[in-house]
Amino acid sequence: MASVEFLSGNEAVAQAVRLARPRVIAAYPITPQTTVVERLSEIVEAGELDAQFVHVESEHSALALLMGSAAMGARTFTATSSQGLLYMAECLYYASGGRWPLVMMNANRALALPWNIYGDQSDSLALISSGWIQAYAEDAQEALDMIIQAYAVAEDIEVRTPVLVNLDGFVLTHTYEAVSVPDQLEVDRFLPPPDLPEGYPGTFSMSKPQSLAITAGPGDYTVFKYQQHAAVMHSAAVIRSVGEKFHQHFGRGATGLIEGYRSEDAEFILITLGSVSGTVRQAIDELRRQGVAVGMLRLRYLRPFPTEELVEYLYSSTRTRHVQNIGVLEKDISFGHQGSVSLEVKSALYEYASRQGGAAVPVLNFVAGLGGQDISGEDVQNIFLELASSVNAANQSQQTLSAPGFSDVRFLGLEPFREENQHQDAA
Amino acid sequence: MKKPEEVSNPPCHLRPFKRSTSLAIWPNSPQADSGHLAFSNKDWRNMWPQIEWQACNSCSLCLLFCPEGAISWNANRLPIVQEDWCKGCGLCARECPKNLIAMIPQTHR
Amino acid sequence: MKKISIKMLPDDEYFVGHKGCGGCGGSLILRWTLKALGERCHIVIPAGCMSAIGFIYPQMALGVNAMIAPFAATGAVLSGIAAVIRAKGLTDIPVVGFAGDGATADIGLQSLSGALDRREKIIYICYDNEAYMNTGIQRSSATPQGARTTTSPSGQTAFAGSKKDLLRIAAAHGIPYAATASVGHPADFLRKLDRARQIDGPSFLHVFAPCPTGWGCATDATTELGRSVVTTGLWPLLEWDHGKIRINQAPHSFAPLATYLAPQARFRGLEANQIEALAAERDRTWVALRAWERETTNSVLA
Repeated sequence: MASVEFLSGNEAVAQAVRLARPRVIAAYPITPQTTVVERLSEIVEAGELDAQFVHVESEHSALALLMGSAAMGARTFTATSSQGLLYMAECLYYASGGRWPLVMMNANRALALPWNIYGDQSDSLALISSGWIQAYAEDAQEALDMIIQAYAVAEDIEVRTPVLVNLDGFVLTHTYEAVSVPDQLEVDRFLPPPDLPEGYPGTFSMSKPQSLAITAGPGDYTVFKYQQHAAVMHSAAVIRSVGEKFHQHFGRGATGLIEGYRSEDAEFILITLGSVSGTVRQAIDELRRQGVAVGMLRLRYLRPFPTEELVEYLYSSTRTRHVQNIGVLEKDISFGHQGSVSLEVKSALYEYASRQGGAAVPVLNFVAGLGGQDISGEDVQNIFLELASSVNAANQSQQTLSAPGFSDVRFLGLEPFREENQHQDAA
Repeated sequence: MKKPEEVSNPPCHLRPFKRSTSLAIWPNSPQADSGHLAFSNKDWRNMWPQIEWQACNSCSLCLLFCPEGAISWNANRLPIVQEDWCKGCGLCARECPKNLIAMIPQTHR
Repeated sequence: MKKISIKMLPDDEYFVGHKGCGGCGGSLILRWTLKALGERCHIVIPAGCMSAIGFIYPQMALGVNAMIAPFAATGAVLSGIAAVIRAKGLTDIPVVGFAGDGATADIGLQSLSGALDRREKIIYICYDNEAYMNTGIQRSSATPQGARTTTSPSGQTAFAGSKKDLLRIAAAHGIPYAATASVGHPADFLRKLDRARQIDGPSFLHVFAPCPTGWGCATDATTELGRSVVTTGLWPLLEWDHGKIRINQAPHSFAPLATYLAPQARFRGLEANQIEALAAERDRTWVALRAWERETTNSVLA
């Protein structure tokens, strides 16, 4: 029987890992990831999980070590954050290229400089092209569920791609909520055994020794890379079917790569990801009471990017209203351009529009929550009001400040720095 | 054309290889069977070790010091050089305690 | 477990068809290692010459389970393999790292330190050709004083530091077994490899491995240099075994340095006073070594 426990996001992840029975756990401490591995070391020392808990001297070594374990056919786990994720960047590409089914949790945290230990999504978005499946949890329950599902997705023989499960630093990793923790037997029935079968690609063999992580010249390299791309594209279908199976087993959880909220008849849609979605839901409910047709699309996965699902949500023939304006709310900026998620969304919409003919729905980019900046319900309502007021009137930003030359990127929290306010300082 | 078991000792040996043009039978990950050799190195050398068998006492030092693993025993336990792998470095000649190996010019181009 | 020795080496070859240069010392040591440890061996090789010449699809020159590690991560990947061997209760699987001097003394030192600290049951072999040969002979922290490389073209800049002392670094971790060896002394190397595989914990072998391409010597000079480096006293054969250091060969007098230096283009251009400086440095090293031997032999802790 499942039990309901009061857990932080990190503790929910630790429980999920315990239930998934990895053989090897290796991790290096970094705020705000630490409590995951603290709990796991306790769980291992208490004998509740039969795993090797390996202390490593860096994040780079943590991930490299787990590639060695995966090559031996073992299920593994690690967790990191921010600078740590960047420090292991080489190994992220190595692991996905080697097609090892690793699962890693990342506590989304700002990147130095300036130093900042609080949450934003710059770290994982910097590595969006690293070949890992990227999932973003909204709450502790989804974090637990995503970790368990991540093993099923990663180890699927057609996928064999590592999965990064992201939790917003502090806001999700350290916030406590009631979480339903499944029984070990239920998870054992849901997941394959923790040892990869003999002959599984990317593993050694005593009967037929293997050379792994090999070199490939220009022509061959392309084929290996195409295969990798095809596997990540295919993983979308596997994520959905694993989600459906999870729903059947445990009676909860979204099954798509995108989750909509009051979006079917919304004229103004905010696309976002992670824990801020809860705040967005509340703002939507409030504005709906005032008669504004607003809704949300929450991106649960950024890789594979759910282009088809996004188009289906935005342009479905069953929609009762056309979408007038789209906002993308994200805790990240790709300097010199715009937010990374905004780029993803626009790319998908452009492809759709260019195939269908006609103009794409306008997309405004809201960069907020950098370095742990609070995003209030009022902030989100203002974003929706701006989406509603900017129909047919480009660049009328009154609420947020645009970077020079990039009129559709709005930074939250720069209001006091607007030119018209500055003379007040001088006075 | 020599048989594979004559050109090298297992587990490393030269086997026929044809690059696949089908994704269906492309390797599942960047890996391959260990010891599967697809190409000979015979066109690397410009010298060849000629071994004087008559006085050879099978001391095995030429086998030991070959960086290529290119020297093996024949049926009479005399050293033979595998032409697929010898690079003509001359270490066998240098190490032969009886000076029975002469490096002579030879190329395969 | 059969004892490893030259006579006991099997006919089987586990490293053939590689793309190493003629006379490559590193590939000779790798070939011996695999012959000695056999088919159950799992070997991890980081970016560098041995990985570049051994695993180019579709030519797989190693006959055992083998894997290329990220340059900086040999120790970590070895740990990952060792952890699963422990978890599954497997026995008699030698886990071997085979890394060059750059991958050991420079970029991989941290990862090696971690693996040694964790007391993993691994054999870590550093084949030392004293520069970054795979990228084209650039200076590493194992490049000896006075040696020319493409990033120390006069040889003078390589006087900046003396070669990192990997044996002492390994021994300072308190590991059970560490040793130096040379491609010129295969019996000594194989005896040490045999000792290493019987150690229940990490062992570290630092093996002298000439590179004819990078050193500017004849392709058949590899083994002779592997002997003259020992007789000149530049590469002491040493064994650290459970807290005691043993000098395996202590020559009464050293052969002239020129017997080792002259066949190598990388040392051409050394002035007489610089050669004297190298000799003085060598002598200081030996004084320290003998003191270390006395100290550890008399130690009550040993």
